[in-house]
Amino acid sequence: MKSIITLVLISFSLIAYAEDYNLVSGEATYTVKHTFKKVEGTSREVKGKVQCKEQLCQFLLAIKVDTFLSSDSNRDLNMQTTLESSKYPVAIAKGEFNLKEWNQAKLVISAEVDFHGIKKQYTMTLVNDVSGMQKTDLVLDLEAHKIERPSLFTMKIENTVPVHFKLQWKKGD
Amino acid sequence: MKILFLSCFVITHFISSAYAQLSLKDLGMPDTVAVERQDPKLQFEMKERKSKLKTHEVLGLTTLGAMTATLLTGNTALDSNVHMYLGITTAALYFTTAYYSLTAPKPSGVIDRGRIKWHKALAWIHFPAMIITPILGYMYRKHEDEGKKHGSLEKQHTTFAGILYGSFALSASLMVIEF
Repeated sequence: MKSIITLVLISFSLIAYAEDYNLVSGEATYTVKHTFKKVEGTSREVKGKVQCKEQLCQFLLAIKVDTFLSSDSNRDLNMQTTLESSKYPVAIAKGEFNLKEWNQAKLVISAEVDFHGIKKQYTMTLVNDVSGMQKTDLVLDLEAHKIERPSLFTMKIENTVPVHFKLQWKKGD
Repeated sequence: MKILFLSCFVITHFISSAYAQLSLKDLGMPDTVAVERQDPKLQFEMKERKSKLKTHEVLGLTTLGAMTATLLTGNTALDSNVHMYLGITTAALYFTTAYYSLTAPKPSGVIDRGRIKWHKALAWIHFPAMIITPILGYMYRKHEDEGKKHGSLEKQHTTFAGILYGSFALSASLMVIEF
């Protein structure tokens, strides 16, 4: 009986050690650059979670590709066609970091990004501002994800697409 | 003994669920979302749409070029057939361009937003102008050749051509230039 109680206590103490952070609000804005124009599209439907075990935390961010809206609905449809959103509807970023660094002003993390069905490793610098908002930029490499770059006047858009994130986390469930 | 096994199972379950790799399910999204959404019909429609609109874009810009040339040769319309042939070419290109736009599939539930709204709205001006302008041009040339008096409407060929060119050029620039 004693051993059972001990095991139960150990398990609950381990569970109590786990720390979760859920995304309260998340925003991602991409910027596409072309010789003649610069276009931005924003998704306010970023989903995310951070789960910490002792000192090691894992994070997961996911965005449905079709939630990105620019100033033009036709462009959004073209973007969805280019990214084959019916085949690869979600872009995912995941990785690990040390819990000690979570509340630091700057946190450099390595993230595996699953975009257009291709996984690639990126480095992101997360900046915690005074309002509790976390900001970061992820510079996507379109060709690395086998994305056919759209063109205008036979000139293709730039291969690198920066995505700016604004994330607000809340501790607990 | 049974209680011990049961406890071990419960503990293992708690620990594994607490420390399992995060998945889309943890974010309230179905894990199989990519598989579920694979819709061959939709994928085909999106590809067809992309292809048709790309052709629409290229033909639209070619039409604009031909229209500019037609406009520039307007003064020589009565001396040679160049203006007339350029006009016929422009009209053929214009209606082919329109065909690719009108037949491009559009996913249901998409509401037009932004400059595409203006791009489409301008078609209500340049489409009728594209029909009227060549007819008036033909009538003007015919009456000129027959030595007959020109009607008041056919004298407006230039005005309609200006409206056509202005609205068409604006419509094209809306899609290629970021205002």
